[in-house]
Amino acid sequence: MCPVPSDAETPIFAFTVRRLALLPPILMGVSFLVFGALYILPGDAIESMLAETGGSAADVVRLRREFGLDRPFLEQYSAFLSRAVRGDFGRSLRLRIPVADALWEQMPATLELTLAALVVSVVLGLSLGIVAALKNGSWIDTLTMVVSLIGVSMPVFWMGLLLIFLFSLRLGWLPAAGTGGLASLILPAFTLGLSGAAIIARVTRSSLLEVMSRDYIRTARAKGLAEPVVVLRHALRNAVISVITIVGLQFGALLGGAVVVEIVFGRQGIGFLAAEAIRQQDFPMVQGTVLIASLAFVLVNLAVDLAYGFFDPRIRYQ
Amino acid sequence: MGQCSQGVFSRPLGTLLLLGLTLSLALRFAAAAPSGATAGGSISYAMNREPDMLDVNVGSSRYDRWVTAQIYDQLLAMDRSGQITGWLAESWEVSPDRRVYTFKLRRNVEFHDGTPFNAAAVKANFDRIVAPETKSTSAVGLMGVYDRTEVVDTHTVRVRFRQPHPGFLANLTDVTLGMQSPAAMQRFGPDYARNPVGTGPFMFREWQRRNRIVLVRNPKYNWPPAWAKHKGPPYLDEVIFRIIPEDGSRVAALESGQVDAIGRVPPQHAAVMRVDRRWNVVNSTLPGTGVILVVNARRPPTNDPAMRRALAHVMNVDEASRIAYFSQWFPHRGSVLSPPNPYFVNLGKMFPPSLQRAEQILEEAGWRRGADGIRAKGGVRAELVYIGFPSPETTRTMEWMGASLRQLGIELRIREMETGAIHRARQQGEHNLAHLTFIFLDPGFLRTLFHSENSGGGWNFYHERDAQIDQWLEQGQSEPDLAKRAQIYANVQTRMRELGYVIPVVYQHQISAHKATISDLIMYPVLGEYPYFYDAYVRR
Repeated sequence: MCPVPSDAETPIFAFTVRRLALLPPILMGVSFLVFGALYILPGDAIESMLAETGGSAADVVRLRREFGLDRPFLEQYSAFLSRAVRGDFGRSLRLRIPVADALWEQMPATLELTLAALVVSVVLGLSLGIVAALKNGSWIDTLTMVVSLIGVSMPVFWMGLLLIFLFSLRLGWLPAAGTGGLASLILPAFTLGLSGAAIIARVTRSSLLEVMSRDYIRTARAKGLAEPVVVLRHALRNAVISVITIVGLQFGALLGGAVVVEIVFGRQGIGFLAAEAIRQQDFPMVQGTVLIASLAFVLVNLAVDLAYGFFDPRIRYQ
Repeated sequence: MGQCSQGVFSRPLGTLLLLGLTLSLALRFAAAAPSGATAGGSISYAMNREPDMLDVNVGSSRYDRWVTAQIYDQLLAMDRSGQITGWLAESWEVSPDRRVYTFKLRRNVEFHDGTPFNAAAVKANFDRIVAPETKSTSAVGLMGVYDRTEVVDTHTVRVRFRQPHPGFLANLTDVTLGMQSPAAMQRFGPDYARNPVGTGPFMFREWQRRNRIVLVRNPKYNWPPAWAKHKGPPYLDEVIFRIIPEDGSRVAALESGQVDAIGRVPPQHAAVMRVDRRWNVVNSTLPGTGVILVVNARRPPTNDPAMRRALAHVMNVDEASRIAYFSQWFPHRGSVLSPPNPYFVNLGKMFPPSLQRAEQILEEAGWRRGADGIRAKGGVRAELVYIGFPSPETTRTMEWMGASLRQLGIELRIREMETGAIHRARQQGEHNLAHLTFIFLDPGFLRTLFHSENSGGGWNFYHERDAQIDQWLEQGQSEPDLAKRAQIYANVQTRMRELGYVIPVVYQHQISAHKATISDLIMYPVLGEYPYFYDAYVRR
């Protein structure tokens, strides 16, 4: 008997392949939009470069010509594209180092930060949400919801400085700034993850409450199962679908928030790299950072969609 | 027996020799170490912006210099009184027309990679700066109208310019014209910026971007500038630069002991830290324009000279310094130069702050109050637009000025923008008042800021075509007679302020703070913007 691929395998594989095949056109579209946006913005890389030390009008013209920034838009874009498809993202105009090198060097710190923040969000958010749902209507419920409201309203910037003031200056427990080691990751991860935790707490609470009122839960209780088992094994599994959606969307917000956290805590990362590159109109660097971010975003969303299938067997991939 | 001892002490020559030896030993020790200076240790220094690159031929960021000043030496040095002394160049001759400079170089100087510093190295640096493929941004501006460099012999080099370049000696004291190893530049090509090799007291070890830059002691170093306190290698084993952009975090990093020293201390923190015995605060006034307002003479209502004179009487520099800068950045008494610059002129008495006088001037010029209290003349309302970077200090200054202006019947609109937009806006003259601040030493640079050729496409924001100023700026750049040069720039400063093209506020300062256990960590003389670690040591 010939082995036949099971029904579940092929659709997922095809689904994944189809999604990945969308990547090149997405990335191209993004790069074109970014290029166009930078081109339209007032000012350019040369003015930014000379802004600190000054230059004559003649210097500006000369440097523009030397960098090829006075060539027409489409010519510049197609030059960029033809190099990019060969994996050459060029050199940063401002820093003169290869863009790929800079990204490679800074990526790990941002990944570390976003993953740690995600862990904080999920663990803290789920815990608070579960507690609030189980103690629905009590003062614990109200308290957790108020705390989460504060968490989602506080500016990331301010939260970071507050934590530095408390844990670095006053208590001396953790470093105020810098990259490297677990100790220097804790405050930044919390700062970034807290607002996400607040959102996840609220969503967990409401979807858990909704699920807990369903018939099959009453059945499980009637069968004599202990409450923790009812909640964690049966109810949570369904409630978590909404949470996964939020986590997928959160990722974009985390990347954005990472910029501020990287600045406040003086950490390495592509967030700050991107912000500086945009401010300095450093075309190649902006392209590189935006494309990496887009790639990450698409892949995370794909992972989220695949995770649905794991948690909910009803979902089929067409 | 009365036989004289034939020992050294008995002979006059011997005694003299011994005396001389003792004296020279004592002198060497005195020069080598102030009491308490201990070799060893490291200092971690947090900056607010990361250098772009460590290649001074190419780079444009001022923050590069914080690090490169430790790695590279220059041909000449400038001490605190503004006096130019020899450094890598021991002596020099300048032709009367200031177009030919001949330098005799110091011997036995080595780059960190072991290659010798010589005339060929000087030539390699200068040629590289002006080469188009280098795309130099900052250094090329200091090279005047460069013709060529000749290697006369291994330690004599001659630099020729097509036009007189009287500012060249001062420019050579700037680390932007520091000497880089030609062998290394050749070897690393475009990656030299991350692998700098100089002759300086510290050698480059590593650079983790956005994290740290590590420099280590150069054990062979023995050619410090004349104003340094000791000779021989630096005391410190290591200097580690950290990057912490956020002011609050940077100050917290110092106060929690995470770093040993920080730069760019904001005025409000400086005011507090100065009285704290744990820290030493070093406050330097920087050369350059200082913090000034450039007045757009082409846009109503500031196209009216009377309006400009009235505005000059509104600005109270002592108040501005006190209110916006906590008295840490001093009131500006000049016009477009600051006290560390050569040819600085004190014009503090020209426009005493007086709202009454301002009112008088406006009334006499026909600016009458309208029904809403705002003045108008010939159909033009007295509405001013200010354009500047978003900074707490300048915002406070302009808000305070706005309150005074409102009393006088003048509206002020404050527009704050980021780099790209602000530059375009100022170039196109969308402002009446624009914030301007540039750090530079030689006044030749004023041409870039105030010559009409740079209006619209460059950094001239007062936009007037003042033929007299243009002429003076052109002359000043190439005037070989230094006394005449001083007069030219005195005239420029006076006229710019007299006609109300600029309204100075405060000088620009660089405030640094370090642990009190660190000694002799100074800010670079005259340029004052960045620290110099050569004499620094950690007290045990």
